[in-house]
Amino acid sequence: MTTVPSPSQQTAANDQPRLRIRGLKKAFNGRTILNGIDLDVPAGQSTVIIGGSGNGKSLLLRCILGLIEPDAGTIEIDGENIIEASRSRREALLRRIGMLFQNAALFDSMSVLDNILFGLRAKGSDRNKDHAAQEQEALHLLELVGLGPHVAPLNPAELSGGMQKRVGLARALAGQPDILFFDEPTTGLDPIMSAVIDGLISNCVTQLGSTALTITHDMTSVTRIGDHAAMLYGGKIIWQGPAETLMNSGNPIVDQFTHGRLEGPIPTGNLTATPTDKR
Amino acid sequence: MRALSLPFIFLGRSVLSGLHHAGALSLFALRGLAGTFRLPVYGQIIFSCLVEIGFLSLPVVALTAIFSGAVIALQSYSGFSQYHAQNAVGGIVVMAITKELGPVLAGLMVAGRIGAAIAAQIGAMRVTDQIDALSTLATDPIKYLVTPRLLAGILALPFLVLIADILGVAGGFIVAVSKLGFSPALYIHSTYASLHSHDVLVGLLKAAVFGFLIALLGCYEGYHSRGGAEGVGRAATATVVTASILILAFDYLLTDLFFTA
Repeated sequence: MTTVPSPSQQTAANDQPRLRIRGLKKAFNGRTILNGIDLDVPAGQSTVIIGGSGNGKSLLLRCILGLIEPDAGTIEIDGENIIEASRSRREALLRRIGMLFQNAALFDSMSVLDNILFGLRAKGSDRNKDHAAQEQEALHLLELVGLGPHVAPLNPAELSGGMQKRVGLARALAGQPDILFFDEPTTGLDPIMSAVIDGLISNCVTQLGSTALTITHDMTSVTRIGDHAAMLYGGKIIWQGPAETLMNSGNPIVDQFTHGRLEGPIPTGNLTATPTDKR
Repeated sequence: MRALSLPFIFLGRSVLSGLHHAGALSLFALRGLAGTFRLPVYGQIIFSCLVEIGFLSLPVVALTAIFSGAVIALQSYSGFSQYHAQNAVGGIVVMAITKELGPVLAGLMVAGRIGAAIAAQIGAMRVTDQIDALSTLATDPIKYLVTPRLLAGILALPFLVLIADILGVAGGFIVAVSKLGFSPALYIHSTYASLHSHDVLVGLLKAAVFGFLIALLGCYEGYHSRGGAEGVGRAATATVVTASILILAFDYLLTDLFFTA
């Protein structure tokens, strides 16, 4: 049986994590998806959660963001339990958070510029600035993610997937959040665009000093952006440690997943028949 | 024994499911209306919803009202002429339009046009994570998406129905004068004699209720849509069907409340 190091063993006693999750549970229609998640996300570093499709990675993120109410457990940001926080307090905490959705989730009724301005205004960081100054700030954010001002008046539907992700990242960065969440940021992108997005995420952590939590099943991304890594399997965090040790974790489940092996403790069902069926 | 109890099981489950949806819809409506009393006020969004629901629905509602008034004039004339009561045509047209047809037909037309559009718009936002994105941007999606549409529905429908009333009566007038040989002065006199402010006001109240129902159902179905494009389509269909039925049901209830006392 796999042993799971306690999060408290991995975090220095006097070094409070930015995000602390304990005993998080969530079930749908009697099916348990998250079954007691314990996770610490250190401040100012990048943590990556890996796991197979349908293992609850996105659900975990949605619970942290307050989009879905967990059945049990605590989620603390800087020691404050956000599950029990009032609506106004939760909104205040959300202003400290930036989120990049898997499909960017740009508002398609707005231009690219308005999407970023929405982020700026919602985060309340530019209340005292006039409209021109806010526009300048938005254009600066676009530049930060490698997009020029010519993109600003376009509709999100006119952009490629990679450009949409970059705009989504610019909107997430509005108001300089100190916590950033990324939901499968490189899914559906070509290898070069994936590298670009990974580079932008790394910059957010190293240059802006943000704390990042990324969920992905892209192993290349993990090594590029992660300081720490954790694996979600069977509703629990079954392994966590430094990202550079992920590929040689010593945990059979993690090793099977990271190396993409069909043989191992993770059941693959009919998929195991696929290679031999090729005639 | 088991087979005998199946209809009762089905009935019980249906009743429970109906009550569950009614409760969820009521809570959703309360949350939407409560947003009116909390800052910030999204004035620009309310205005654009008013334009969408009110102004842009004018052509379809206007045409419906004109033809309805014209048809009532024709039908009532053919019926009343058998009893030499043709002079009542103007009164019948104005009463039918202001009491019933104006609000009900405008409500049904708007349910088809706007209810489906609201459900599709919010449903598409739901399935593409845009509603979740609003939440992560510290913006209450109910207040941002639902409250403005509820307010616009309540405010725009009475405006539409007032115009539908005028155009419906005008449609009857045109047919009566140009086709049925009525004297314009006599027809207008007959119309005025049967025009009561109570009828018009209750018609406008009905319109406000219908506007609220259409916007509420569009928002509710869209907000809870699941399953990609197919789910969005289902939400739009459910909105039009449910809103149409509720408009007719509430029309009966409000008529019973205000006209049979």
